[in-house]
Amino acid sequence: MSIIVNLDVMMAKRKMSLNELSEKVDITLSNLSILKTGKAKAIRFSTLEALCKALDCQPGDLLEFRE
Amino acid sequence: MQLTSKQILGALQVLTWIAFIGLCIETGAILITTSISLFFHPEAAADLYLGLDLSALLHYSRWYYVQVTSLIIALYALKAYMVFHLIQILQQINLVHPFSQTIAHLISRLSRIAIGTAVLSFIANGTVDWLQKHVVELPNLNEHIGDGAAYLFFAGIVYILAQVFNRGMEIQSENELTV
Repeated sequence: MSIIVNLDVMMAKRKMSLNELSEKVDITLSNLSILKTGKAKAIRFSTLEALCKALDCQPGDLLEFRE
Repeated sequence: MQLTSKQILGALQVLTWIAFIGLCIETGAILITTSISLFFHPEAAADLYLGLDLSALLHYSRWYYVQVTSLIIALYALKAYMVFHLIQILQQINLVHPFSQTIAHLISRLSRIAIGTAVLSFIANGTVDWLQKHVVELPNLNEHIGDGAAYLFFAGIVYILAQVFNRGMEIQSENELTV
């Protein structure tokens, strides 16, 4: 898919582990892993909002479009 | 007390098992009596299964007799095979995640078997009609041969269901991969 999820990059920038993020945004580890590995087919606005809040970033920092 | 889907599925499973065993018995019984009438006692052709009398046909021609009984046995066997698939579908179905690859394959296969049964039923009806017109008087075989059009209709419905199931599987996987 040409939409890349840069969750791992933002997590590294904020020095946050997957477990920590999972607790903060109340999303299971398996779902975060789906998102991180790029297997996700869709993302809810509520999830995006929670991630942006927890990582103190914009949706554009998490999602990227590449041809 | 209201019946839940799980209870209905359980009852359906019991009913399909009964139908499957019944059809296996019918197939086996006709197969055995046909073999007996062909190789040991030709008089067995007078009552092949529940009064099915094909003795006149056997007296006229052994080849026509083998042809008609083979068609009847094949149709019973195909019906049993269809019900066996239905049992497998009922066993595999999971109401939490109803759309699975296994069930989609089983439903597609069921529709193909139903098409085969319909074709065979048309052939059997044609053969019996031709024999009745040109060769020898036969008893009413509708009960044993069935209606080809009904099988074809069933196959069509099951085929549509298989397509809906495939689409359902895509939607389910999309839903599971939505975070």
